[in-house]
Amino acid sequence: MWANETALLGSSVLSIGGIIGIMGGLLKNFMFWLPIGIYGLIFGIILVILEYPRGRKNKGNTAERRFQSCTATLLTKLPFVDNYYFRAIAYFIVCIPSAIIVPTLLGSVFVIIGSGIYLGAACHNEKWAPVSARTEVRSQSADVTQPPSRPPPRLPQNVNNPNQI
Amino acid sequence: CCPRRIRRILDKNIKFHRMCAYMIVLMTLIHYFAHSFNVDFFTSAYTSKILVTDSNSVIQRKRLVARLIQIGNAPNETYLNPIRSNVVGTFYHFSVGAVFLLTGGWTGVIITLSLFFMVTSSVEFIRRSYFEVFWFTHHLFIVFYGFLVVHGISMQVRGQTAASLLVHDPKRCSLINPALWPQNNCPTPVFAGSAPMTWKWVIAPMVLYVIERIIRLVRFNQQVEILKVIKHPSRVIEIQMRKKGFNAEVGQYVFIMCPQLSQLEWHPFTLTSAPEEDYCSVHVRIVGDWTTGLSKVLPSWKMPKLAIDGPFGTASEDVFNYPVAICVGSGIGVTPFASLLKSVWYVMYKNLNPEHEMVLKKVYFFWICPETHAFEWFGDLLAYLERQLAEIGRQDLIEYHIYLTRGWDHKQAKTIYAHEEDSRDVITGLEQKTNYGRPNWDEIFSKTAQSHPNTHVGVFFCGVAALSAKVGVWCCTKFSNSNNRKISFHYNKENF
Repeated sequence: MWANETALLGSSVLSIGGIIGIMGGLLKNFMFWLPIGIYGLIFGIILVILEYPRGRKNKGNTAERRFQSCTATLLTKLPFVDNYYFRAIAYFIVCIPSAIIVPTLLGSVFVIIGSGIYLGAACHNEKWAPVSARTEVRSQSADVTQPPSRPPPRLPQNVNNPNQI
Repeated sequence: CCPRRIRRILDKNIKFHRMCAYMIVLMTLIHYFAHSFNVDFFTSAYTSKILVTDSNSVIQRKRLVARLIQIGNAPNETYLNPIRSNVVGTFYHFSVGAVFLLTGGWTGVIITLSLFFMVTSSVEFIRRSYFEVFWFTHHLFIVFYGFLVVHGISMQVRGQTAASLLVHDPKRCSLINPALWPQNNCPTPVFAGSAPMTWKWVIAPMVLYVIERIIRLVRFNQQVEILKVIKHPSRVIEIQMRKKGFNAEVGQYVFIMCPQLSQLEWHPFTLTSAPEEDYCSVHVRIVGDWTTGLSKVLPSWKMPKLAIDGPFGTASEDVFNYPVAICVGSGIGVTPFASLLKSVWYVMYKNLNPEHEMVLKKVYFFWICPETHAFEWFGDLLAYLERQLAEIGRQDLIEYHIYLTRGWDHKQAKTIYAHEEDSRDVITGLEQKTNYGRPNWDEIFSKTAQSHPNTHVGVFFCGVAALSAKVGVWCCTKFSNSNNRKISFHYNKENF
């Protein structure tokens, strides 16, 4: 879970670093930055999309992120993504090329840390599972959508109850 | 001491803490990206070569750069470029390498990494579900502040000194070939770095924090005498304690630590005793590891050592300053109001003489509870207060309404309407009947506005955030100054 938070923040910073790399790369002095900046931006965005849906907690309800259902359905269709070993190794490999220029170095270091935490989680046999719909609130025995079929069992003289607001 | 408006700002301390954190994160990103350009300038200065295709202005700039990196190598010279090694090709000459080898660089790496761990573990999801991760990583702030203070200690951001600017004008001399500087009245420029400034900003808060931790250590060593431990049926333990020199206001909270269970954990609990009582009590609900451990070691023949840190203040302290107070508590959030209601009774009891009238004239108390079993100890307290107030003839002072929002099955429902006509409520035993369902805030606030024109009403809330948002909106935006009744609602929220 924490790996998810770190990787999400890391990949956002990687994307921002990629943008800075591109902007700097357009200047003559920093032309070397341009290809790495583009790489950083593209992979940053891919990682943000992969990390955005939060996986299901082992016990209790999981608070979903806003709009995460859009990308969560995508994730259930991709292979390997729910395996944390895969995430750890893949993120590590992806971040090595972007660590060679300074703007994207920050984001790549963060994602590498996230991949390290994923490795730890994978050793504890955790995996990503989509968040199921919330269990229904225990409903009353009477179905409140239907009007009551019998009058309430109140005594007729109970008209002005002083305890009611 | 301070006017109410200023005191209420202090209630929003956690929000302020978060705002500062967001600003630190934003500024760190800007600072980092700005310096990434800077570092690249420093390192590429060593590898720039004059090409045949360069124009004159580019050649001049490259000559200038080549000369500037040399200044500082001769004795009695000060340098501009903090990267001093002249051997091209070492790790120092790659910008990523320089990030780790410059003093500003590696301290910055440590600071940014600590900030990263602190930020990612502070999101609400991690705080609510994996609190220890949040708590222990947040202590990295010590590393953060330590390295922040020394981040600039090598003074690697450098520029010409004021004295040098008088004799060497950079605008004019940068256009002249550096080899010809001595002839053209451009003596060698003198550089100096700017001294670290951050410590001046952070030293005061750091000292205050250290003082607070020392106070906690002193309080840890003070003896706490456990007077009584009562186990209530609803998995709640009440602990009554006494400590020398301990004075609390109404609604304050303390941190409790039990070295037998854990040396590092201090857990906050609201005091449920009134300040007028000679002991202090907390009601602990048994939910997690630490509270379960506490229920096992208490009570016993040899009571475990407890340490109390506190008391710390919250919004509810101000309740006696308002003529009318509306207190809303949801579920376990009702605990600060236990202390409040008891205290109101004590004050009333002592002040039967009309010359010493309290400012507070009326308390409306709303308790919103999802299930019945949580009622139990608080219901007893309310019943006791009801009797005591009736004895001194002031039962109109507190008007309380209890709402049961869910948690009855159809068997209980039958029992409830079978006892509809009883004078006392079947669930709580109180004279006021329990209401079923959620309160209608619209009606509640408009009725209060009608009964109390021209008054300041304090609304005190302790409970879940969703309800707080609703009540806050209703009270502050919809009903303040409505219908020319000049009533103003002041909203105070506790941290839940």
